[in-house]
Amino acid sequence: MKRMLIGILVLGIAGFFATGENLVSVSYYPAWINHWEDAGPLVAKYLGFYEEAGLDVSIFPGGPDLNPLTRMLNDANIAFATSYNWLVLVARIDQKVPLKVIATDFQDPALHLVSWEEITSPQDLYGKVVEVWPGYEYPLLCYLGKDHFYYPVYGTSPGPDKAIVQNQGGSMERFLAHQVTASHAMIYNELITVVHALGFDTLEEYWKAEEKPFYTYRFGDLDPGLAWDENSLVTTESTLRDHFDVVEAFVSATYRGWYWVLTHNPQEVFEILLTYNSSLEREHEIPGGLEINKLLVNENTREHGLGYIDASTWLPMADRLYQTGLISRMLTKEEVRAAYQWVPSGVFPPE
Amino acid sequence: MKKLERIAFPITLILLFGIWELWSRLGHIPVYRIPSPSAIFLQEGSEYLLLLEHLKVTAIEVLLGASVGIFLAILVGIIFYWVPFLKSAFYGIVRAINSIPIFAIAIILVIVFGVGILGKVVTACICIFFPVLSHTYNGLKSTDPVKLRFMRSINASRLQRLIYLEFPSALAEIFTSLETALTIAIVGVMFGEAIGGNAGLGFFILNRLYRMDNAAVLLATFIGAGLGFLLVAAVYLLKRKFLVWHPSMQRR
Repeated sequence: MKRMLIGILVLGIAGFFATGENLVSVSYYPAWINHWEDAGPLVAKYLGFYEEAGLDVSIFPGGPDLNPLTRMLNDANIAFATSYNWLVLVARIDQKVPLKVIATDFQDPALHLVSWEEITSPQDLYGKVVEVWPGYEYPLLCYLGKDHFYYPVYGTSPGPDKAIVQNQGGSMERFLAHQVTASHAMIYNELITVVHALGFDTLEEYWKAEEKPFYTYRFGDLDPGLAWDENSLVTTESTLRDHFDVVEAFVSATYRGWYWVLTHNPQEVFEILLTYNSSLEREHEIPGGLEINKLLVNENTREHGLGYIDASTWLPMADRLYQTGLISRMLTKEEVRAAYQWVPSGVFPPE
Repeated sequence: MKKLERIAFPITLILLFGIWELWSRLGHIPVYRIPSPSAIFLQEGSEYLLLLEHLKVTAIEVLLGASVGIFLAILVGIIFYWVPFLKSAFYGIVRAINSIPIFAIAIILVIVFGVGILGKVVTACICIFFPVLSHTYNGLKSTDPVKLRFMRSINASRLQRLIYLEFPSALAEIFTSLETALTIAIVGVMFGEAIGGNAGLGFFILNRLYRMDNAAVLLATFIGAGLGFLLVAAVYLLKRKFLVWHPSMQRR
């Protein structure tokens, strides 16, 4: 009896450690909590695409205060994260962190600026309050220019020719109450919230309306040098160098997941997302998800495959970051190019 | 022996930091992982100035919240002591809230109050209020019954009893509770700043975390710890002044 119990215990412990069929252990750190923003990997794991590619992927959702890049670096396994190009560049240059962008999900930015007043130039925001999320403030600060923002963590002081930048704190309340002039809004989340709050049923209705109650801008519309991509897949230089096959497998399985998301009924996609995060709301997530789907497809991805890295956005980004004082020095073309290495997914958007 | 004792602590500190520095350099641990002490402390003056600004914000939030918290806690403690019915009615709630982990309280307060400093002041206030209330009440209740009977026998009024006996005897416990309460208050305030703030050490840390500037993060952490140390030292000095007669303050 005792021997049998010990035997069961040993088998149990062994089973706990076995990953089955020699799958490679991989960790993935989404940009935020589990939702449509990282639907590709979530679906790929759920439907077994990663297993088919020989990977055993563990997903560790993010959230407020959690930097996926830091968590990825502290992971002993082969790890990937979804983050932003500007954060990767700042980390690479200022802190010498050996990160590499290997693919980019969003070919167009999801980040928007909603404003009660029309913005045609940075001067329109001087003296006004703009709400941002920490970590995402780089395009706005670059738009305003080096000495034209008051944002306490950057050590500036208030002034008449400065915009007042403050933390949005994750709520559109102050914007909707007209207490601030402008605010960050993601097209798949806050923008929909605002649109609903102001009486529109759908985002399309808002776009088509002749009289819009508020203005919406992408930073690239305000200033072409700020048309930066978002949500890139990132890994470390050593992973890319020593485990390129795993990286390739991860990228292509991830975009197989995205392909599934792009070609299936949104309700089905939502059901899968719900298994990861039961707090998602259907009426909010699906319209947002449809917007996210649009961001993955453009002429570049149609030609080269999903996850294409558009090199032409990186140099202007490096220049503007330096001019605004957000990165410590001017970068050479080689330094900028060294920040990314496109790993083709081999998955093309649906027709 | 006395002289050696006095320099023992600084020497330990120097040794620990020295080992850390050596280990960083020899082990080639990259700065972004665990910065060496030199990377942390030898930063630009502008960074220190910036940290000073944010330290001011955090310190103000803690001190404001603590002042209100201490005042209210002692007041309510006395009320509970004088009116046992109120104590029975509300003490359960007090104990319950006292058990809520500080990060949960900070999150709730950020949701309720938003990103301004009010939420952080309230956080500090709550962190101080509940422990100090508990200890005020317990301290008052632990008044030496012999002395109590004496006071009653000479017809001291309730107020006289409080001022001359009960409150002084509770003071030691109140001071002790303050030390831990203040440390927790700093944690609560910094956490609140990190998850929804505009300024302060917590928010500074959050911003630098996104930039992967771990050296700055650790510097801010040390400065936060320094603030805690200063506050505890201030409490100790106050204790020395007000509790000269207490056994714990006597030199053995």
